[in-house]
Amino acid sequence: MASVSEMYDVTWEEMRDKLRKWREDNHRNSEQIVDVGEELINEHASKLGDDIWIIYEQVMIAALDCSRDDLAWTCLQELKRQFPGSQRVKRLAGMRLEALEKYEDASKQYDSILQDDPTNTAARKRKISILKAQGKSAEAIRELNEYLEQFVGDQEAWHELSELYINEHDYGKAAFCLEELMMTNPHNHLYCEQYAEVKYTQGGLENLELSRKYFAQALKLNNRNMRALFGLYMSASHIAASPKVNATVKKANVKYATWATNQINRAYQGNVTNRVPGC
Amino acid sequence: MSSSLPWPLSMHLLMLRPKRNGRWWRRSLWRSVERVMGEVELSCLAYVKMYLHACLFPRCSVNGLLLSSSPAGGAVCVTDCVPLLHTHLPLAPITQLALTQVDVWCAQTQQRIVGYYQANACVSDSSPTPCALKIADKIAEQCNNAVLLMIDGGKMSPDYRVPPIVMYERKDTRWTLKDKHTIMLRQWEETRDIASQLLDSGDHSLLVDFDSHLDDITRDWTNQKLNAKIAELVSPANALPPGGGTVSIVTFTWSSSTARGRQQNINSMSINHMLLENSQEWRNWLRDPT
Repeated sequence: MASVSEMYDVTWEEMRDKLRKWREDNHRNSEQIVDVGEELINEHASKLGDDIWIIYEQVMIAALDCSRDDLAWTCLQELKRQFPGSQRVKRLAGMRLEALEKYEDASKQYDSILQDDPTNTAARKRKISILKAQGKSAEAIRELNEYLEQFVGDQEAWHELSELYINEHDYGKAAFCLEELMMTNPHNHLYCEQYAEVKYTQGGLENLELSRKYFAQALKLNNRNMRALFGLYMSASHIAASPKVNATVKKANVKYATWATNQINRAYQGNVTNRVPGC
Repeated sequence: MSSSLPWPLSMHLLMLRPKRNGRWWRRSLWRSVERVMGEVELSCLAYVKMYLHACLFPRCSVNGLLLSSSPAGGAVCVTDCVPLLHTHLPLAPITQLALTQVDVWCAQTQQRIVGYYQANACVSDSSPTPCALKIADKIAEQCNNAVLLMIDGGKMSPDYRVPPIVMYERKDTRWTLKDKHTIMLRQWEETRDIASQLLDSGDHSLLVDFDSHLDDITRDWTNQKLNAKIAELVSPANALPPGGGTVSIVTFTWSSSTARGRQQNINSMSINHMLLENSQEWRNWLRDPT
């Protein structure tokens, strides 16, 4: 099997930089990380210097994601040897137990971390992930709420909570979580668009109007967001078709829907040869 | 093996059971006809694309629609599928949009939506979620024999021997487990091998679902390229005989009852047929539906 550097004609520095980029952007492309990282570790370990430890951590997590237990074990051993007694390495050991579905042992591992350091957010989040993996969504939601009472600024946690609520069909609470996210990230078009989708799903005239406004906001922030464009068209059409609205509102919404249709058609004509069915 | 029947349909079915008395004959005929009516056939193309969709997004719940190009009435022949979402399945706007677009495309290509499939992110639980039931209900409004298919992630190990699917049908407004004897997969081993081959070669990344299409509208959610690749790998013997699915299902039933000691001309198997292969695993799977 050809190595990554042969297949893509890259040097070890480029591979190292790619791994750093994936690490900083928090990508979950685990198969690629394992391919690149394994080669880097096996062939170029001496050249990496102190970077090697963080690469071990990154590759270990990716290996767990791809069921590469052998590679994960190797990375963990190296890290344990270099950083004995480290909480961060203990967390990785816990994650390995989770991957092997030994949830009780993993939970004990995280509890021991929290005993030494009650403010360790990583261990608390892993415990919530265990609940999620076991399908105990109600408990996961409860624990996550308690966590967020203490660590209000943790955006990753707010987003995770909104996902959990969406899966439980509790759209009101999911909307609340997304509102928190929009407050702290007013320029993120994805949060606006997701909030609009939740409002649309909740239904009712008020929620549809709100969803239309937030789809429009998402488009303002990023005019190439196709979901927002389609969402604007659908919410405006639904409002215009509703019997509860007066003539002015109806007219305005028909205008918005028509504008959205034109934008959609332009986007498709500019990019693809086939027309948009159903629009 | 020619696909034309020298005998009328009823005579074929009669050969399965000896005639004991007049009433028994009529009951067996009715049951056989009922069986043909309730049967669902899953094509190689549909299965492979569903499987690859679940493999492409192993950490997410995924869903999609099952399509049929055969006319309504009689057994349901799932000939194709359209992968839909891998994010936020319970949210309405994109689901509604996708259903509308697929509906229009189906009308243009003489297909109809006959079912819905979903694979849950949580491997230990393959029961239908509320949103799966809702979408399946919507489809059942338009199609009488609609099916709900859940992909069982727990059974998708590298050397899986039985199809990792659980099928439900609608009976009196509730979705109940479908009798496994009425689910047909043509050329099961070949289908499974094609799916593994595409997975190993990395071609599963060619699959485009509706979510990916919205991220980049130049990507084709009808997956013509992948369809062509799968068609290349499928052997000519797997093609549907002229006359459509109903004829071949009768042929399955006939060959399944006489498989022992007889040369099989068509290698298609119903899940019922697998039982006759004397395989312990398959028998255990049939006995234990979980």
